[in-house]
Amino acid sequence: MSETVKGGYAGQILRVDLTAGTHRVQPLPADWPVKYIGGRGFVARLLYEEVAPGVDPLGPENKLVMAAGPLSGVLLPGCGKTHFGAKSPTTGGYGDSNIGGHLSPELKQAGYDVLVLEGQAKEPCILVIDDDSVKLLPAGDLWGKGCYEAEETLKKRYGEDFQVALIGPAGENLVKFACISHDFGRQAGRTGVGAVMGSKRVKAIVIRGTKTIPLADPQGVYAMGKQMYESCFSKPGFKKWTPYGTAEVVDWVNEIGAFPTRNFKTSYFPEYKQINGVRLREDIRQTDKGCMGCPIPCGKYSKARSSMGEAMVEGPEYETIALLGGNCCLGNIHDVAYANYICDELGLDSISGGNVAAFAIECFEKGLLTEEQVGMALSFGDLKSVVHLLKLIAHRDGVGDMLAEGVKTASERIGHDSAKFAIHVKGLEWTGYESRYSPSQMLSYITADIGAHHNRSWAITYDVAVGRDTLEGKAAKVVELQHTRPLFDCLGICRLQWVEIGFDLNWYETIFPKITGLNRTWQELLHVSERVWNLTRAFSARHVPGWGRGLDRPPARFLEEPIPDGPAKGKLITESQMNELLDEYYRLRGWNDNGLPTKERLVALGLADVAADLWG
Amino acid sequence: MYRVRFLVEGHAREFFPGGRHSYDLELPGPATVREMIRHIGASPDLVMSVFVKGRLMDKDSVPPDGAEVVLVTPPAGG
Repeated sequence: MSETVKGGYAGQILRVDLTAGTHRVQPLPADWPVKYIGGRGFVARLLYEEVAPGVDPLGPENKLVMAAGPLSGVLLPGCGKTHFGAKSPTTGGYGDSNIGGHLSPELKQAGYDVLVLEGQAKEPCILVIDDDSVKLLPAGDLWGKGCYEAEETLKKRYGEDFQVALIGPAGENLVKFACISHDFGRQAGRTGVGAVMGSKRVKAIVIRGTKTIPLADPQGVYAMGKQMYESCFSKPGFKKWTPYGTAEVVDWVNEIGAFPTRNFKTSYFPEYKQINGVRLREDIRQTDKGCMGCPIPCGKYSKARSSMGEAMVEGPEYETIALLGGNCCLGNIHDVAYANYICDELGLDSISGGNVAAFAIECFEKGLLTEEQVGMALSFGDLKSVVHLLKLIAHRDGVGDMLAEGVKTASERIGHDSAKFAIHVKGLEWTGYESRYSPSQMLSYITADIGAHHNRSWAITYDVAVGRDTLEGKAAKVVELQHTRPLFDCLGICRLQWVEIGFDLNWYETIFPKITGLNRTWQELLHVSERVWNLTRAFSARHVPGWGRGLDRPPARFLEEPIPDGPAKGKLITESQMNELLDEYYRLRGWNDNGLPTKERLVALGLADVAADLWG
Repeated sequence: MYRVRFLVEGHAREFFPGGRHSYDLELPGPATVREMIRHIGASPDLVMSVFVKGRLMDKDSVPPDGAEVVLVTPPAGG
């Protein structure tokens, strides 16, 4: 029996052909809400169908997709999430990045679940969507401007009720880890989606929507939404978590020996108490800042007073503290916040930015980069070194042109043993959890579909709970989390209410039919998430030769160098342990020994067309 | 007797015995938060922050008798 979607979706895709300067609206395929839910699921399906193997990620045939989920924009805790995706210039495979704020609610209220940017504009432009009105306008002098300045200009030009997604100089210059920025400090930072936007010569997307999002049971959604907020407010952790945001975890990550330090040389930063949540709260925070519908705002607006100047910045979040702080050895919260500001203004992902800066500094220390090449003597713990590198990269100036390609490509060009300490998986730089003493987190990173990213599976607490020296059960936990966490990206809602204050997952199973009219158990929703996981794996396998076991591995440093000091001193994941984890992981997923989805598994997941593409 | 109530928050609550929201402890005498977490059969490493009456406390501190102690498990974000 076919099911009817009764709400949660605007029901339309807006396609903008930048080459022709035209746009068209098409109905959302009828089976997409059932088979892919929304957000990340829509991005994955559209890219799989429309971006062929061989397409240049920075060429006109790639597509930049922005998608909302059925829960996006419905007044529920954390409903401000938006998903961006494209064939990644960072990895060459499937790429996406999630962003908080207010974009997807506006997109849906304008009448669209999905926005697709196709082709390539002849001149830099901005896209202005105001309900049914869709215009491409010259970017003018906005091109070249930093993210803060450009967004402020657009807000003044169009009004506060317009939402803006834009790129900075890094995106314009096709830096492989350029991000898409929004709301003065939020970023879709990963996989180079900002470079794809820059390749299309789109400086900004400006959106306003004034329509109503249809709901299957408006009264039921209202009543349950109210209960969900009341549940959040009643959690003992509610008042405790908000003051420090994600930065609160800095102490814990150091205490267990998992904090990226000195280009991941070690996993404990002795000065961590100078860059933790308490220092953020007491020394630099000005106010809290949340996304649409958020009862636990993790964003902090801060004022940095660094040795290089003052700046207002949203953050720093934990990941920024880990990669610009510990990994570059900046032991002062003002310095970390200032480097954060530089990344945000230039439109650089602070995670990859911190990785690349630390990699360059280590290269300099080892004599693989010279003062003449770089323009100054580099050192860990020096804010000037970090800022200097970030600016070179964003403008592709001198050695910055090579570093703008990311650590994988940079290490291939620098040679010697630099690949050993180029910290990435499949080209995407590692995020804020050093994993030599965390087998399930290591497995999470090396099997994540976009490269080394923690948001697909954050399993480190599982290692701590059941034992960090054992491999037993680790693969199963990673598979479970790789279905649970990305499901939030399909639904279009933030997962922090669940992760941070223990919000019950059954809320989402209960609210889903009231919004969409589709009755689904949590397990059935997880089945969709597994489908999407296999779809993105298949996409990358078709686009990148060797995608599979051969690329499911960490950098050599993590396999060859035991952690030299701190709480995890002496720990290491060996090659045989890694293979044991992968064997079990592939078996549980129903993949072959090379880590590719089998024909049978794909068919069982309702992906017969993908099975035919992959296996004939 | 020394009595304390633990309230556990965050996703890692699932790794506490029984995955419960709260634990009522009765001990012969005062103990540190770290000792009491071990007493209920959980790992102190699963706790990121400890709050008593809204104030951040160290895991090695001793809460007053009758205190309600909030244990916040680690987040992942940013």
